[in-house]
Amino acid sequence: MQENIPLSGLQRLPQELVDKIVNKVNDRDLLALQLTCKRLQADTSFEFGRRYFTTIKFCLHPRSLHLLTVISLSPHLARHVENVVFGNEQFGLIDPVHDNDARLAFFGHTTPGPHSYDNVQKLEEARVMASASIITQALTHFPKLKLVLVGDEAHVDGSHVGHTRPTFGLHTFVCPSGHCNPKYKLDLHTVYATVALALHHLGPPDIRVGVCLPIGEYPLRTSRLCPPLRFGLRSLAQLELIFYRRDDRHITQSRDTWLQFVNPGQISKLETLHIRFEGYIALSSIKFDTFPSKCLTKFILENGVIRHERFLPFIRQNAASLTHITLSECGSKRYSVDWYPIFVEFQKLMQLNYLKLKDLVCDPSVLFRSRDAQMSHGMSLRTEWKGRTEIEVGLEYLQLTYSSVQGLPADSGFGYIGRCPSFLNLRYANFKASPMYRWTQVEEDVLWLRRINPGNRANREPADITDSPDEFPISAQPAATAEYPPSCILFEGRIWVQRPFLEASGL
Amino acid sequence: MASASTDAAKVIKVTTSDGIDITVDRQVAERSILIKNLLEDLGGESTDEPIPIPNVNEAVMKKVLEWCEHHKADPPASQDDDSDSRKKSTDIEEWDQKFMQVDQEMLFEIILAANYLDIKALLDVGCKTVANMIKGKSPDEIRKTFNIQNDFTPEEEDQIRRENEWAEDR
Repeated sequence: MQENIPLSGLQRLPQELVDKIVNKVNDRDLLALQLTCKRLQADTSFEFGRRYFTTIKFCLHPRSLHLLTVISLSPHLARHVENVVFGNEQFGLIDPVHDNDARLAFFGHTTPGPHSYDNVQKLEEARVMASASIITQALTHFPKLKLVLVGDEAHVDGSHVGHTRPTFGLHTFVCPSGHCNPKYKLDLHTVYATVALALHHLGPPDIRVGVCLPIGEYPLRTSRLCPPLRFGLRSLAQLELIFYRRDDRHITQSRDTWLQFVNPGQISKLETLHIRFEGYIALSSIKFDTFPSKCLTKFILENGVIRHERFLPFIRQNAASLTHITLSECGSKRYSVDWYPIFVEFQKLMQLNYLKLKDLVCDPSVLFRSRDAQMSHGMSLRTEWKGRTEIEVGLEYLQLTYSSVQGLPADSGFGYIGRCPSFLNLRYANFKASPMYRWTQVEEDVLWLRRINPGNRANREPADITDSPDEFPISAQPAATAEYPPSCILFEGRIWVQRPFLEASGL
Repeated sequence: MASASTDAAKVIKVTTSDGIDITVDRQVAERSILIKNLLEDLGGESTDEPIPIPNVNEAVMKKVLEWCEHHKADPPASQDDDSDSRKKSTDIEEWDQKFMQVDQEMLFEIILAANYLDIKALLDVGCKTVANMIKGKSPDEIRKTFNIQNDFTPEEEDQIRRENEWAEDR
């Protein structure tokens, strides 16, 4: 009898300890654990829901919206939902009376529709009303709902959101009655209008709305669905702008249309501004001062160029509210940046408690230190500081050790051929900011070699604060009699890391 | 030079669930926050009274104290270690890996004891060890590894598979 089978050690652990173990397993392992037995399924179900259903993503195909309904009617999943994202995948325009056929994945309709629309616009309006109604119904079942986002490339908490069910199973219809329109291209305006209408039906919102606008990706048409848009924009809390590589005229035209769409004057509740350039550095594209939000807390810039005259006033303007800043892969070989005044400004942000810096290209006039080439690439070019103490100490030492270092991280988006640019050197600031960034063994050896050979310092670069054992101590010093530490040697004025250690330390 | 009475205060006794008294250095025993707090509540005075540990037997206690002895000089764990997403690694240092090479019964007893005695770092090593035993395995392999009986009905299993499909490949 199953009842007599003794429980295994894992099954006997209390819930809190299973949670600790489950926290350490990856997504695939969690799914496997779910399928082992009832006890572990129950013990892991909260983590399963938290990991996969905090953020869910759909498109406006009836089959996808049906899944939204199913999840909303499953309390053990619905209770986790905080963010719902809607993409604008293309599948044609389906007459709402054929939704059931679409949900069951028929290629054609089982019944002709009772309506006939004299133009696409009326069918589109019917579609918006029907989809908005389904969305409203579903959203009422999510007690923790905070944010509704629109856009294929939308990010939540810095991560791209994948569909809750893959979209490859969704397809257009061949409509015998001609009601449905497979050639119809669903644009972002329509998705936004649908979602805004759904939220309007939902009632007074404390739900925030976000939109991810691709600029320069495809031709735009001006919105015909203005009233719900206006409603939604007043609640706009998250705005992502993605600039795609196109010729300047296309970008400018496209940008102006979109910025009209999100008339900055209407955005009074903007909390998150995320700007990303896809392979294109448009110097004049971002007018930061056109986002006069009074409550901007999060600013993310990826692959962009910062101009002090626009960026510093923007930071000052939002100094009272900014808590999170991410600058990733900013600057380029041609348009590098002097970061020093920016860090001075960041130091004044009293609310800032998260700062992420990644692969920042530096102005060539900044002190270049080739001798730091032996330090860890990861910890030299990237950082993630959390909390006031880490940020204050990190920024202070970033200014004290302000320098650049050459490096080309394998996964950097720069893709330079030939000589790569110099990047902002974060290694010493990282060391001071958090014990997470303690020296690696190779780094300790490099620093030791440098310090016991002051007259023959690597690359003969002058001593500075980073040579101070008080400021940057190293722990286990090699024996005084040892000629060299095990990992590196000094040869012709340069420190060389031995090959096995090079690989082990990711250099 | 420390006086004889101070030396005496450096050693304490604990009584395990099976009634065995174990003498141990106070510094070693204080890796357990439970014991540390208990001793602090006594006002730092030396006590000859053994501290009862009713949830841990002698074999497990000895094993736990072996770990505490090895790690007695480690810095104390910070409170927010668990919440910091930058520390999600399941890497275990070599000595701890060897220490955890015990049968499953003992492994789970160590985890339970570390939790009861409030030894955060040992609990973390134990949980990482179990997580590593799960890593990369199919549901069937996990069942075999931990001797778990599949008690799902086919309908229940189908339902879970369906929900898993919504989560996969994201």
